[in-house]
Order: sequence, then C-alpha cells, then structure tokens
Amino acid sequence: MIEISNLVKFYGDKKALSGISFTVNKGEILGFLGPNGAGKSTTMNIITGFLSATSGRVTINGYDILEDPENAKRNIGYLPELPPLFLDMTVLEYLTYVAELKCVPKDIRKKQISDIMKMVHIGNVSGRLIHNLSKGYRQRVGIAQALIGNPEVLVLDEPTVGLDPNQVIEMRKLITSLSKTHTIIFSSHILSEVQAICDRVVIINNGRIVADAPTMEMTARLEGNSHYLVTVEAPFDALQMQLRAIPGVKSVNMLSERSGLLQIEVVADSEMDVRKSIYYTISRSGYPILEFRSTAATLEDIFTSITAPKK
Amino acid sequence: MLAVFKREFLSYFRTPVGWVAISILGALSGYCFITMLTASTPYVNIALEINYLRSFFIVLIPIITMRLFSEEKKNGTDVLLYTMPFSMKNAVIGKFLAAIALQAIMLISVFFHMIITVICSGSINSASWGAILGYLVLAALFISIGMLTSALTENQIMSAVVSFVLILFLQMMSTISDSIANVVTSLMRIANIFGLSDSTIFNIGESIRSGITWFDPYSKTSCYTSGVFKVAPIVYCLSFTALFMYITFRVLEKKRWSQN
Repeated sequence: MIEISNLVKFYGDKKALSGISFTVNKGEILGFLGPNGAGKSTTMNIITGFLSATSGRVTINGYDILEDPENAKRNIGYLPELPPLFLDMTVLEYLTYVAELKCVPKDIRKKQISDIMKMVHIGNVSGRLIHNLSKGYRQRVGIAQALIGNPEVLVLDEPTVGLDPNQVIEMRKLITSLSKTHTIIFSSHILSEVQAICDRVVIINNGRIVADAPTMEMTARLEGNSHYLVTVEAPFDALQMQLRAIPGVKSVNMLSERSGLLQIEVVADSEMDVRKSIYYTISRSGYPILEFRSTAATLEDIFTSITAPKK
Repeated sequence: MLAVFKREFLSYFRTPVGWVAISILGALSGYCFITMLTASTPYVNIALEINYLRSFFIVLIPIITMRLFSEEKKNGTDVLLYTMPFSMKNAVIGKFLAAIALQAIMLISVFFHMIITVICSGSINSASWGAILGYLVLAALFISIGMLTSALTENQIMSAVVSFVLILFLQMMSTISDSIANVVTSLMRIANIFGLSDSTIFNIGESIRSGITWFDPYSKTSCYTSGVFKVAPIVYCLSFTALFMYITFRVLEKKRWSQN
C-alpha cells in the first residue's frame, strides 16, 4: 500500500509538483496518466526514494521513505523510464548483482532469479550480454530487475514505451498477471493502455492531479460523446450551420483549411447515431466528402472534458 | 557493499581498463628492474622500484577512478544504487575497495621481481614492505580524490582531467611551497614595513615552506622507502581518504535534494 500526501517538488523556480496526494490500496493497479512533462516521472522518483520531495510525505506499507528508507525500499521494485541496465554484463550476471544488492538470501537467490526469468520470458537470453539485446528484451530485463526480492509494490514508469505492438500486448498481460500478487503504479501517456489494465486512474497535468477515479467511471465520463473527423470541400460557415441543426450534434470545430479543403471535427452525443444524418446533410448540399471517420477520444479530450467548467 | 565491490572489480576486467593498467605498471616496473640489474654494479632495491612506480599515479589513478560514478550517472544505472535498501555509503566504500584492490593487483609484477631477487639470493628488506605500504596508503588517498571528481561530473574525461590536475598539484607540492616561500620573502624584503631583520624574514619563509610541505603526501610517505616506520603518514593519508570519501557520499546524497 502506498500513501502519498501533499508532495511538492521545486526544480529551481519551477514548481514540478504542487501538492500531489493519493493512495494506492493493496492489490490495486493504478494508472498514472499525464502528458510529457506533467510530473509523472518526478512523482515516481520521489515514491522510490531516488529524489526527495521539497515537502510532503510518502509511506510504503507504513514505512516512511525518508525516515525509514531501508524498510520502505525493501518493499519497492522500480522500473525507471530508462531501465538501469549494465550493458557489459550478461542477463544472469546482472540479475544476480541486483539480487545481491537487494540482500536476497543466498540459498533462495538462484531459484528466485530463474523463476522471474521464466515469468518474464527471458530464460533463453540469460547468457547473453545485455548490450546485444533488443529494446523489448531490455525492457523485460528491467521488469525482472524490479521483481527481484519479491517486493510488494511495483512502480513502473512507462514500461511499454518503445515496444512493438506485440510486445506491448505481452507486457500488458504480464502486468495484469503480476497484479494478483502486487500493488502496482503504472505510468503512461497512452489512454487505451490504462483503460485496458488499470483499476483506477489518476490524471496529472502541470504537477497537479486533475482527476482521480476508477477506470470505469472515467471511461463513462468520456464516452458521453462521439467524435467524427470529416474532410470536405465546402465553406466552413455554411456547413457548420447545417450540421449544428442535426439533433444530437453538440459542436462542429474546424481543424484545418487548405485550398478549399476543410477538415472538421463533429462532436455528437454517443446515445444517438448521427453518422447517416451527417452524410446526407453534406451530400444534399452538393459538397464532396473526401474522408469521414470516427476518432477515438484522446488524452487531450479527457483534459478538456475534465478541466472544462461543468455546465 | 560486497556486491558493489564485486561488480566494480570485475568490470575492470570486462573492459580493457584493468588489463591496460596492469600492463602499463608491469612494463614500467620491468624497465626499472632491468635497469637495476644491468647497471655497472647490479643492485636490486625493490623499495626504489616502488618509489619509481608511485610517480605514475598521476596517469594511472585518473584512468582507474574516472568511470566509478560518472559512467553510472551517464547511463542512468545510478538509479539502482539510489533505490536499493542500503545507504549510498556502502556504494562509495564498495567502489573504493574495488579500485584499491586493482591497485594492489597491479603490483603483481613487483612480487615477481621480489621472487626473482630471493631466488638469486638477494634480500628483501623491511624497506621493500614499507614501500608497498606507503604505495597503498598513497594510492588510497589519490583514489578517494579521483572518486570525488567522478561523483561531481557525468563526463569521464572531465573527471580524469580534474583528478590529474589535483594529483599533479600534490606531486609538485614541494616545488610550489618553494616558490610561494620565495615570493613571500622577496616581497617582505622589498616592502619591509615592520622593519624585520633578514633572519626573521628568512625564518618566516622557512615556516611557510615547511607549513605547506607538511601536506605533501609524497615526502610524508617517503620515510617508508628508507626502512623507517612511522604511524603519522598512515594516519594522515587515511584520514584524508576518509574525508574525501565522506565528501563523495555527501555529493551523491545532494543529488536527491538538488533542485536543478
């Protein structure tokens, strides 16, 4: 269990975190979302004791990270954004080194390392130099490193960045399977990833928490609207008026206009299917439709929907 | 601590650094040994050989210490040390021990020369063992300096250059103290406001000279080469070593709190 209260971190004059508080309960997977530079990595670095907060408190299973760092750190496995790998060591040598650093008793060390290697599927590369491994394998060695010493809490900083789609799916499966026995904080800037595996989502922007809710609730909030992207050869003003008249359409925004080609975004109530109406309205006016597709809600949409004042 | 020591020590031999350092010292000591053997009156003095090797600290120590912390910082592996359930003190001590162990192993060629000397019915006197002791405490001091410069920067070359300059300064300490004393005495002679006599000015110059040379680690430990054992040089070197290691630890800890 992780309790974070009122974390503040200054970098010079810049306030990177301004009063972050949340709790991750035992056995929960918490998705930590935010755009680049929002303060995700800073928060994770503070949780794991790599950095110290300017003020605020972090406790891991009841141990304060500043007052009782050794006990607190014993309970954490950390995979930083850049996995801390020694390229001149083999996978097995590296994991043995980490096990020694984490004071894993000698008699169970070998078994624990081989179990973990099996779990993250790196047994076949155990004798290879980390330098020669692909990005996906390196990431898995990074996870293996975090799992050594069997810590209850796992802090994973963007574990799927740079992986190919198959590896991403595998990584998600791995994290889901780990959640049965671990408390996990998992950061990402990809919404669908968090929706797929997390119980709860905390969204952070500019060093502040802008939302903290169970994933289901967050998704419901988002799915109130459908988004469509339309490219059409038409004047914007006339088209906007016609489209706004369709029942269910909430707003029509211009995304770009170049040499008569107009790209617009139509936001509509997801309860009503307005696709046919949009098509007929535009074609009746004699404007050629060049592209028409629905778009998924992005992280930016959540920010706008969450931070916008409620009507 | 043991884990850090083991990793660091082995990594000297995973990279060319360890092998290169051992071979450089081997070649230098071999050259010295051969010169002594082929002199017109052959006389082997192991203490002199070690004394000769000490003057290469200025090149060897920066090579050994430059990567200790700066490489980890650059590759992002320092996160591992910071987030492990132990104090950074252990990492500092582990890395220090690895470097000093490499220094000791580098003396392997000297041990061969000692064996050859004994076989050829030469004698190894207490001065030889004393010289090895002096060599190691001096190495400890310089390694702690090199480690500190390595903790201060991400750039290995920068770290090597700074520790090179610091060791050069220590090596030239007696020359520097001479020049400082000379400048001070000549200035006092030119502008003698207090009306001091020549002998007083000379005495002031001497005290400045001896005051500065007191800090010279080379001349402090040179007594061992002549077979004289003193505790003071060991205490001197080891206490400064401890001080520099402590500063290294503080520099590393500062990173946690730094606001840059």
